Amino acid sequence: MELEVTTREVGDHTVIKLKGEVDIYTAPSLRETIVDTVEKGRYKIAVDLDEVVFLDSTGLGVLVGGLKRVKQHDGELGIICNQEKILRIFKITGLTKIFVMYDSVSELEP
Amino acid sequence: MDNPSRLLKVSRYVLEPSVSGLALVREFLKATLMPFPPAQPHVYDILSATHEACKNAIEHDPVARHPVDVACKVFEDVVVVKVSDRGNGFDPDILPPQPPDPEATTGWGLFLIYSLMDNVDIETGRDGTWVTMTKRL
Repeated sequence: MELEVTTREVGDHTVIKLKGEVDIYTAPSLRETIVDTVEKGRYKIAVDLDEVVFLDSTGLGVLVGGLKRVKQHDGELGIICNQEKILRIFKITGLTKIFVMYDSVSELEP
Repeated sequence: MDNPSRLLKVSRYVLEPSVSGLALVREFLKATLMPFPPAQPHVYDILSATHEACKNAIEHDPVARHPVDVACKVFEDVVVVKVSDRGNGFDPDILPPQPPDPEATTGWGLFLIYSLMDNVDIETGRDGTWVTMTKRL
């Protein structure tokens, strides 16, 4: 399964929606999208993981790298996820403490 | 001595050393485990830990690129997965892994393996690494 990456604007955030598997093979496309978004001057990003069926340590690293990138501009990188199996990875690693966690993209709507 | 749990299935997969092949290991584990209802709630943890072990194996053998062997045994009350490689190994003093710095962009793999499985045994040396992971059902 490949990874589909799409972006849209919701409120003052750029939402990067992922569909499929995020692993060492597919994560570079997520990294590129985050870098492109920041280069466009968009520093409030939310990554929607609700349709992600697998997330590995490389994917986690790309998300942490994205967070560090937006923080350089006083930005924010949020995670949208309501799937327990994916949320569990964030809880185990303690990363729920460094990302802003959202249950739904509707929380970003003005 | 406790009665040994009954062995229900043994499966083996040989992974060609390419990160694009890791998805096939995950599919192999799903196909092996899903027919057993007690294993079903644990499939994600087992395939995630196995993926990380295989990913490490590929990363530790960048030159010779030997195949990675994945063996899965399903018992009545436990699943045991063994990932074996013939790579260069790594420093065993890092075991068991401590939680990485929250802002680290690498180093999460071993920590995930130990967190997702109930028991992990790793032997590593210059002629390879053997990771045995156990999940209670």
